[in-house]
Amino acid sequence: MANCFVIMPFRPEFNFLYLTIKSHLARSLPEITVERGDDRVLTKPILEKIADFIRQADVVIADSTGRNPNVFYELGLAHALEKPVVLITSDAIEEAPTDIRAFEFISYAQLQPEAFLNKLDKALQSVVGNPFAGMHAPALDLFRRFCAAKKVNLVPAAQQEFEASMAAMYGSGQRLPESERSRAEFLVRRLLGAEPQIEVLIALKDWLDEVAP
Amino acid sequence: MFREQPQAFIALPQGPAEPELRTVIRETLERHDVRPLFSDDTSLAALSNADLVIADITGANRNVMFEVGVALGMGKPLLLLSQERFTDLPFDLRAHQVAVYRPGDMESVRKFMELSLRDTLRERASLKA
Repeated sequence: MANCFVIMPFRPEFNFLYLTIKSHLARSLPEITVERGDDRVLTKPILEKIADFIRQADVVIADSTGRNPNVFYELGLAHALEKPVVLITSDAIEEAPTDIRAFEFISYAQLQPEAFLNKLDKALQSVVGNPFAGMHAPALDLFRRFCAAKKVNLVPAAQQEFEASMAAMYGSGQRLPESERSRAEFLVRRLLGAEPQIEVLIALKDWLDEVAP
Repeated sequence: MFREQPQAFIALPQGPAEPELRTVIRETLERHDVRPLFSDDTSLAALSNADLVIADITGANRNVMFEVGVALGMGKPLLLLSQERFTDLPFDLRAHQVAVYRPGDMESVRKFMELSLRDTLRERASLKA
């Protein structure tokens, strides 16, 4: 589980952006928790609270729009704590102070909303890793064993499709099952594409009964 | 109130395969002591009490698709069947996977229902334990 802390001005027009980012990441990167400075109510001075958040974060998203002083103070704190920072802005990049202009920005004023969220996914994945990347190889191994044992000739879904399927299942609240058998079925089915023949699904269950009763 | 007998909500489109499919599903469910609630003789409210939702999305019948959407939103375990492949299956259903059967091959449907139901009930029991 990775923590992502979002630094942005506490102004109403940013609330929707925050909620959009939060609900999108819950779907696309389910192993990440997204928080903002006002998410927890604690009996501490706000600045200390925010410093704690940043300290606990694995990655920080900072919105530099409007050159808000609080944002830049917290951004400085994040840099000092050597946290990886994903910078976003709706201003022109030239508006950013020289000290941070050297970093790459995701400029959401010039991007379609989907393209922005896509870029954000990529940036965060480069820090926390793709949560499903490590599951593809074991899934493919099971898939090949199943095909060999049942003498069926099937083409596995591409890795990208596999990861999209995993992400969609996580997005609808499903998780990798606990038991070895259910887990194997879950993984292999993500490689069978959207519309497998019913016989293939029966053969898969038969095979699982043989190898992991 | 705790309900001992699990319930399944079933949505089927009208069509030549419907009567036979209905019989196969009813028999399989009853053999496993699961109460079948067919969408055409119950209300949508029954869906919220269901432990499992079975739907045949052949022809993308709008009532069936609507009920599948509700089931998906409620996070119900879904068992989807279809007689043909789609070129434009909604994204979230792609992940849930649709078992494609030939309309004349009720034996495969019976076997698939049987195994899927066994696994679903097994998982349900292990979650409760």
